[in-house]
Amino acid sequence: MISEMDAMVAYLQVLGTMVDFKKFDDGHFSQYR
Amino acid sequence: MKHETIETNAGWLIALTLVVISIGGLVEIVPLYFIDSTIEEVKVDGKETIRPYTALEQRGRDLYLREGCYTCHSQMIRPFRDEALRYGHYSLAAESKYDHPFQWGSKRTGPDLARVGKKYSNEWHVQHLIAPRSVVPESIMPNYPWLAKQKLDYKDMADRLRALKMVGVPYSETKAEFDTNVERFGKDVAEQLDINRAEKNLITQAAAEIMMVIHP
Repeated sequence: MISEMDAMVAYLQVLGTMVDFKKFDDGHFSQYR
Repeated sequence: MKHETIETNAGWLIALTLVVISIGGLVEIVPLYFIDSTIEEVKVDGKETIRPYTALEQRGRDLYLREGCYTCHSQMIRPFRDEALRYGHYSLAAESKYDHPFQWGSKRTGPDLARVGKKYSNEWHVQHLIAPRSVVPESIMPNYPWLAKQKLDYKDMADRLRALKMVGVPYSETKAEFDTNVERFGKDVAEQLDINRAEKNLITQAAAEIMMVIHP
């Protein structure tokens, strides 16, 4: 059985993981501000 | 003209108020026409790393909204030193560009969740959602034990993704759209964004996640 818990945990575990800030210089994103 | 004249004359007051508000409006609106985009480009090796949610994640997001998590948790790390120390890099606009509706929020009873992913194990999350105080004694979060008992309803998964596609989230339905996604996100991610495979993808991802809990 796939429970609602499985979906909720999958969502929580992906939050904020899509940008690897180590791959960018410090302050790289300030150019967009 | 004395200020008193304006204050005691409704006609003057209305006219001059309009003038002042117009100046303020122009100062705020005109610059918007000279900004190309406020959404950051995030590419690594030519591929976009910020992608729409997979079917399972999206279904989890629906539950996040259903349970009202947003009434206590924000999902936007502000660019301040204390926030950087506690949560990490401030949230980029690009990180929520596929969110409908966004979950930025302005009220925190619990912590911000914008970077909670991979910070704790799956088992921790399961335990914490069933009984928060069993892992964080001082927590005032309610228990959500039914999440573990209720079967996930995903029979309308494709329609849910189609609805998001209508508001501009790049889920693919045709071969051409799929190929565009391969170009943008790479093959593995593109397959997760294929509406035709939504249900199958959801089952596969859930199975992998359950295996991780049983055999970490």
